[in-house]
Amino acid sequence: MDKIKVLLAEDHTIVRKGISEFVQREPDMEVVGEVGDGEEAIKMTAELQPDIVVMDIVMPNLNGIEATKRIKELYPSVAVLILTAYDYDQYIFALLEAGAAGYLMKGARVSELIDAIRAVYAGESVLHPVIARRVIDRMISLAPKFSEPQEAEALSGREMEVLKLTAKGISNKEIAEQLFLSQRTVQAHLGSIFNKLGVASRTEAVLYGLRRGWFTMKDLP
Amino acid sequence: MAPHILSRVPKIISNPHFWIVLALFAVGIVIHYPQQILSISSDSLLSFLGLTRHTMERVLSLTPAIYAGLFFGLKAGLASLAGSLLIILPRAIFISSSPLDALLESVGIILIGGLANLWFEQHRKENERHQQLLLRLEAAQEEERRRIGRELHDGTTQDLVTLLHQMEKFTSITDYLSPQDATLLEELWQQTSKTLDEVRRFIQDLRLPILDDLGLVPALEWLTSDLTKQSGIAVDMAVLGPVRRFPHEIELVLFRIAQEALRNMWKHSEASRAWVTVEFGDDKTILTVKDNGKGFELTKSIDYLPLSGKLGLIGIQERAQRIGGKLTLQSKPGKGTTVTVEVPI
Repeated sequence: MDKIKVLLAEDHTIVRKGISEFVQREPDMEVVGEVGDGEEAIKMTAELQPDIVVMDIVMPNLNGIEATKRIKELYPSVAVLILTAYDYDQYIFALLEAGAAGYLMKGARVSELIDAIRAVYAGESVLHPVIARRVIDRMISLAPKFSEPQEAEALSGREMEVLKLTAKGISNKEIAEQLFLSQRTVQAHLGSIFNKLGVASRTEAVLYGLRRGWFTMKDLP
Repeated sequence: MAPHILSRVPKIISNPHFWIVLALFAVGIVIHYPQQILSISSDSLLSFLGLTRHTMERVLSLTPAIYAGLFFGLKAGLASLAGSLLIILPRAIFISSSPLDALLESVGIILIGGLANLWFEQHRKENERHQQLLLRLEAAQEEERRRIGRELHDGTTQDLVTLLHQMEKFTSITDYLSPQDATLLEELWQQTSKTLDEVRRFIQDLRLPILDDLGLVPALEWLTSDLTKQSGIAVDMAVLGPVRRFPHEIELVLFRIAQEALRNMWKHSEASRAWVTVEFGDDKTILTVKDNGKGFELTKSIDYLPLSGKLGLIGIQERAQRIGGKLTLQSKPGKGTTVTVEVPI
């Protein structure tokens, strides 16, 4: 079984070491690299091709938000999970607009981070629906500010169905039940959706769909 | 100097104090030349007032100069003094029976009027210096608090996070924990987590994390939405042009200006709506705070604002000057207020 490749970007060494220890102890994950600033994060993503980058929002040289933007531009299939000390709306908007798959508070249990890494890797959602809602409200009100996402391959009818259900905030298991598919099939569809849209997570796919108007506020939880 | 004054004529004419000074001059002229102007004898005029003529003349000669000095500044005060002399001297030279007395009186008036004006000017300058010192003190305090906040954030909170990690690690790798031990450790974890939250709240009193971490625009977005919630005034925010970040000092000053302007608006203007706009140009940036409140009388140059009680605006001007910015104030009673700061970066 392939282990989930995780790159850690955190400038507070002791905190980073702490997280690294936890991740390394998981049988299905490995830490492929550790960096302490934004520029290094981009470089190491290029070199090591991780599946997930866990990144602090505030770092020297280049902050987490900017680094996330660049990484998503260059390697859209890499998912970024942000660690933040504050959960003001402005932080959440900024990190999601940059293309992060989700965020976690610094000081939350590391086991929650481990769960989040697995969830993103499996295409599950990491965002609490209430947060998602606020982000969406804002995106709608700031519509002109957002650049058009790049043209993507068209999704098949089935894939669009899956994406719309994803937007409703329900889990893969429930999607499988509703569409009479197996969970593996749903995951495969999601993987294909991510590829076609050039994203790496459920959150990003839903935000993409909203921008394109494939579904609206009314469709969401 | 002449075009400068000409351009201010409309403002001067609309200022009630100007008309009061003119009225005082008029009264002074009439008192000095009652026969020429009103064809009444001077004695009958003044006996009506129950004062000696000389007393009245002295008082009325000085009043315009002192009033003008108080409300318009040193130049206007001295000009009014000259005007008063123009009223007194012709009579002293051509009509008076004892020109020497009259001339001595004129000297007395010059001395008193001049000293009074110089005293006002001194007082005004001291006020200004005082204001500047206060603002410099405030800036130093702010810097200090920010430093402490930063250290708490970089050091203390990280230490607490590490503590939490270590506790979690201990719990997860220790197989032989009794339920009581587990509960105790859980409580310790919760307690430490609470401490971390408290330190974070404390840090927020010392520094503005959104401004430091995300920049001016997100900070203003937070400010406007927070104020909307607290005050019930609909505060909207707009950004024009490509968003850029500036050195912290400049972003902090712009943020504080917006904060101060909005606070003034909330407290004094009875506005129902306000707008904050940031316009990013090629070589300049403009911050505008506008409200639809009751506005106020913009009587004179900003230098004289302390006299009309608008100290908050002085703070804004000082801050703007500190970063090389230009402040413009527009306000009309009943038509709202607009504060604009333009910074050449």
